[in-house]
Amino acid sequence: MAISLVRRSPSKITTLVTILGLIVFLPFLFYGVYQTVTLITRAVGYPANIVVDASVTLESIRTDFYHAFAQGGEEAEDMIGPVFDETKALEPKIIRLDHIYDHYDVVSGGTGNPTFNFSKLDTAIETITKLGAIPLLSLSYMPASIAKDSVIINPPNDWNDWAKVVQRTIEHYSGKSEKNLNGVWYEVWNEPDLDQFGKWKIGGDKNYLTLYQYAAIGAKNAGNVNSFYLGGPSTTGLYKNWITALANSGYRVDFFSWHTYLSDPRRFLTDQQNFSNWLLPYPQHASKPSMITEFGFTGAKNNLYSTTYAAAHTASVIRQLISGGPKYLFSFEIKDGPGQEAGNGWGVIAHQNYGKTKKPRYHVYSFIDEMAGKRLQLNGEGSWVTGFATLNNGIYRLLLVNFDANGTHTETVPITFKNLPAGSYTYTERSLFGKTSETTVTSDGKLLQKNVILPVQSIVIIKLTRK
Amino acid sequence: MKKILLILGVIILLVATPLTVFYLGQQQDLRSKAAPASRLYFSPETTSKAVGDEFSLSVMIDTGSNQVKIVRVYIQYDATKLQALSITNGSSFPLITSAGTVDTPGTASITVSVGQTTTPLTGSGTVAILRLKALVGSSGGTALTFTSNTFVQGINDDSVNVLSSSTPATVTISGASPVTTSAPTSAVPTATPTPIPTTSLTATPTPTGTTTHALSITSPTSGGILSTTPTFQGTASPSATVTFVINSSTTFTTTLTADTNGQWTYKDSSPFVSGSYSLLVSQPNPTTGVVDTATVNFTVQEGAMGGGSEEPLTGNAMPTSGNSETTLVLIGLSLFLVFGGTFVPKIRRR
Repeated sequence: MAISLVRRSPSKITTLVTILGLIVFLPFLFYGVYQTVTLITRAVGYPANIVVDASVTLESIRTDFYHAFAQGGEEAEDMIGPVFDETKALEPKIIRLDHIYDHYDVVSGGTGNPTFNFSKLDTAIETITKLGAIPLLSLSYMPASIAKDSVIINPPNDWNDWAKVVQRTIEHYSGKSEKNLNGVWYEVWNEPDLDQFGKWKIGGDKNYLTLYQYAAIGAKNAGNVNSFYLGGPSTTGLYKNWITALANSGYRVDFFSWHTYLSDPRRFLTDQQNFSNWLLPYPQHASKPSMITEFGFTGAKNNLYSTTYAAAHTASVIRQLISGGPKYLFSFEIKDGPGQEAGNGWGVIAHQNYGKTKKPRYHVYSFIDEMAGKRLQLNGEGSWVTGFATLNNGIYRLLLVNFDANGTHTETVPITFKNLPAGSYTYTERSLFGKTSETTVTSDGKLLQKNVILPVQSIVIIKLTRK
Repeated sequence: MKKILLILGVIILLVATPLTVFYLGQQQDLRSKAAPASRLYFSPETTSKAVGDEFSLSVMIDTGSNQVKIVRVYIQYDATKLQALSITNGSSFPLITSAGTVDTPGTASITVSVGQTTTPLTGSGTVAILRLKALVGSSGGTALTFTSNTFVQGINDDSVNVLSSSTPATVTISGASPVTTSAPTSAVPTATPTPIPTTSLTATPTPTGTTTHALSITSPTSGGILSTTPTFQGTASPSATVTFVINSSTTFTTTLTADTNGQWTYKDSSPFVSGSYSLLVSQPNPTTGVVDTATVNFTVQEGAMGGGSEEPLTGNAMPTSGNSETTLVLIGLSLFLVFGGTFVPKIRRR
């Protein structure tokens, strides 16, 4: 219709209208595009204006929960052994291994008659125990010798074989007459919802609850063992239907686990709150520990894992979980796989083929340990700059982290210590990837104010020590 | 034979009757234990504070006959009269299972537990400690209440919230405060902060007839959109020295003196750059001796009408680039005309 109208119009008028339209609206188009680009590219949020009330102490914080590390299965051998000293310095409390059945040749034999040889896996576990850490074994994947079609992400031909595999694993490591380890954590499978790990569901032919059920039967049948923990579902994210299905199952569940690969640190806090709320109707489970058995800002390999981006993300996540956090938060992973010279591996340590380089994230854990103490009331966190403050043995500390998922935001942050006891203090400002400065400041007993420059992806601890 | 059967029947009756009575009694006892009989309340339940005071309220529980392991506390209050500063666990619940949050003005929440191995709580105990700041006078008192999603988990009955009742707290706040101070919120998105002008700010006290000790920022309000020449106003103790900190990508700090009526005003001599800002003011409280603070986040937007002393233009602060719908309409119209101008003549030539 429009075209037919145009066809009836004189050509000069049409051309004139077109030119006029272009003249009038092109600037609007450019302006609109410019504004849209601004809208899209501009990060949104508020700057921080930190106020620490030195007179209000809250709960004690935990500095152990983030000393947890997972090691993936890029190599079918003890991957941590070659970086033992570097890992030892991380002071790991717990280390998670997956691929324990498909990489360590534990199970042979056939359906109805599985046989076991733990010697190869023992080497990896002994490395963990020598590090002073507790092992968390992800019971994965299905041993090929008992799996349907010998495919390791399939159910077994006979579920009783799977129960037997779990039973023998627990007996071997937690058994008083075998490895005699105390407090080992056993997690049923790894990311069962993921296609590459079997795409298990709650219900249907590949029902995770059946997988879990027979693991629980195996755990129950394990005899003469020390205390241990059995849990799951180790999904790629926190999913309510998986958590409540496990809670409703009636099987032994000692802990609930999931993975989180998100760039927004606040989502980690939201997840904890949701998890806690979902389990309130289950008195038998509501106090069970939660475990984030893998975390990062993306599940894909990414060069940013070798930069301060990853370090700031980790620090920012720890800040979100510093109160009411999980039992353990596992950084994925300890060491890059081989062939990752581009530096895009998840590891906090580069592979030995590439010099065992300690990446920026490696240094975060011990840095934050300095914050041990009782949390102080802190208000005024911003969209990028977050933090928490503590008091320990008369020393006031404030941790600030500037994490920007877009990687551009720098901020000068005003900090105010109020009600700081009057006196002279040594003011130390220590940047994880920058310099350390020290000055003397005086508190009048009321206000002490400073400005702190936080470049993008930076972490700073401010310490006030009374002279 | 009949006698034997009779005797057996009597014996069965004699044995079964007390067993049945005992069993039913046990069941009744379990039900009564798991019945919603727990009460939440504040300590103190009523209190009087002056404007600017920071104080704590304890969240208490009387479990009644229940055994309690976990409590999820959701508290609601009037954000124009009070500001929640922090919430943490009480001594009876040593484990925080979900972090205390006070970020959303008007609410505070926390979930606490006795822990996995600790004996459940029976009797009275402290659940949480809530720290608050009195913002404005409220002679009739302002209430803090537990919302309906508060949950007290008893261990004797699955999926039953054993909370039977809760008692609100009432805070009477003395001291005149004609205007409100809003708590900072991170919920309102704005643009990337840009440098603030480096010109000095001058205190221009504006006497009024109101006397107050309240430290407050009366303008801008939280999330307000201001013009590039904003005016900042607030209250403080009469003649008090107020520390004034504006933060964006750079920080500006100065001090000013409130007038004898406790009013202060800042007016910048040169325009602000568009962007988002946070303002912090502080002063020592003359009554308690501790330092009071008030903060507010705001956005400066070129072309906005809000001068800082007016109401914000809208509750939803937009980035400096303006209204996205208008932008999209303009783009659509422009594209229509540009492509129309490009293709229609071609069609016509065919």
